[in-house]
Amino acid sequence: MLYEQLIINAAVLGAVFTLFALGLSLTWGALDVLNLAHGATFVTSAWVATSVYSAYELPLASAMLVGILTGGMIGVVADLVAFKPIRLLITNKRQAELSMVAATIGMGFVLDRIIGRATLDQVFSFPARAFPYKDFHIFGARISNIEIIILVLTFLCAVLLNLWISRSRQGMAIRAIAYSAKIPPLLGIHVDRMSAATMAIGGMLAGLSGTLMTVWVSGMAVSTGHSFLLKGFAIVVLGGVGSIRGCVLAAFILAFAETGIVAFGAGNLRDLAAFSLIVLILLFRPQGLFGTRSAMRA
Amino acid sequence: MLNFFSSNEILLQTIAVFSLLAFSVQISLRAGAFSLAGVGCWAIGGYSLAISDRHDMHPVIGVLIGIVVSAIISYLLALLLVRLRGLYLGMATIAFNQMVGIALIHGGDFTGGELGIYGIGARISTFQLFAVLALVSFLLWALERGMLGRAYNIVRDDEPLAASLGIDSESMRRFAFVLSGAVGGLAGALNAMMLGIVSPTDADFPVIVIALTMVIVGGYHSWLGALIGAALIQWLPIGLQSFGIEGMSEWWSVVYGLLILFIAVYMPRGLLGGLQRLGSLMARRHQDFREA
Repeated sequence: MLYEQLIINAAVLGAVFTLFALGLSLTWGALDVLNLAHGATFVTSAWVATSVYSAYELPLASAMLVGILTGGMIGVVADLVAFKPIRLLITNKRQAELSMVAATIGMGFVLDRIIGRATLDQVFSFPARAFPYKDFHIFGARISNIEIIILVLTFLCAVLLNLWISRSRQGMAIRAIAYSAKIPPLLGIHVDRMSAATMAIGGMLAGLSGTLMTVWVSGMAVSTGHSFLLKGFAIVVLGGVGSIRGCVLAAFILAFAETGIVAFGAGNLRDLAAFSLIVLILLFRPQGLFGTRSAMRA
Repeated sequence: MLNFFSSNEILLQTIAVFSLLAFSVQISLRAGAFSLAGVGCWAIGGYSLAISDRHDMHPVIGVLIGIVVSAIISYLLALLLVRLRGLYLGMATIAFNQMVGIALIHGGDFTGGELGIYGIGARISTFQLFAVLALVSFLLWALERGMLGRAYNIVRDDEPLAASLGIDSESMRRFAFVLSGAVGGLAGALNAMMLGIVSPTDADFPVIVIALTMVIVGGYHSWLGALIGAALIQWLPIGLQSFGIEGMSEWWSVVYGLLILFIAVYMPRGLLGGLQRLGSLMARRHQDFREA
């Protein structure tokens, strides 16, 4: 009975991690952006959704949609004001990577402080009446309706994203950009447009996980974004940068590891899981579980 | 003038200490290693000082212990992470910093757990801090000029070229790692003396972000850039607040973020690089004028 419950909890946590990390993995894989503003995007989307909900009494689903679109918009703005000029101005790859990291630090800072001021760095959430929580029982364990929604949505997002990246023309274009910076423009690929689209999708995924997370644990704060960011990086590195399947698998590995650590009484060692996974995978399989890119390794 | 120093003493001390932290990150970035391990060493240095202070050792010995421990750990880390490059190395060193933080939380009485160590007796004066800063700056200045500085430029920008010229880029990078760790440990120890406390949050993510920001804003190609970045980033919140247009003080942190964004995008060599370009541009115009 206890184990079944633990497995369900870990699976839902893994699903939220997946949604969050998919966006990171996509932008790192395609655009070489280590997006340190991803956590802030996640929090900002959730905050916009909750404020829109309480200000305009919208139905919950539309408020969440507004939050998700906000995430997408942040991604597009980031691409327009930072990544596009950097691509134009800086040709050295390492320099461009560093500049992009710095730019996302600045952006994350701006978002963090705006939300921090608006919420006075307190926990915010949807009002309790916003979502009709209901519990179901399977195999003697309890699973609520929001948990089922999270699992289903995550599954759909991961499958659709994987199909899109591997089968569609745009997906091919994104993979081409990830492979080389010089060739895609010669093939008639709009690098700027695809990059904005990738950032938009990454941002929307952050928004989706942020709003779902807020409904699920009914609470979110600026600091949640920071801890998710670090875990997201662990997942991306573990799964292999740019690999959707790897990202899903790694998210569940991390979620089960964390749940296991907490269940066996070492709750305060919980955060160790993510970082020891990063170090282990980087030492023994730097390209990640499903990674194909070994160029980074000298 | 004297008044300025006494009223801004804390700011000046903070700038000196954070300049050293920025040097630590700048050293590895300049050598082409995106390593943020200096922040972990900053915490290690601080704790080394705090623990030796508790055992009634002389502060100088405490600082030396901090430097040596940090350097040894950095050397081991360099051996371990030798194959990683770029963003991957950045991730691994962030993970290292977080693990240092977790180790400090779980160190029991030795590290004081979550609360850290309070009431460090050792003190340091502003003059002493700036003397140390000047010494380290001089060392880095000497390292960055001449053959060695140029060799590091090649290691950073084009590793195969470095190999073809007979430069052992691996051992050069290892040396940069150790130096970066030692300077980070020194900065941490001085910080512990300045504040009188150390805590596990010293190795936390915000410290990493601030260290990286200082270096990138100032420019990582030179120690002077890191110094400018540290001074600006530490002064900016106070500066923006004191210039305060009505209501401005509330939003200074947003302005600060936008400034970082702007510099990252439009000044890839940081403020120092921007100034240098401006300088050479003006010199050229002057010359053109004279020739015409």
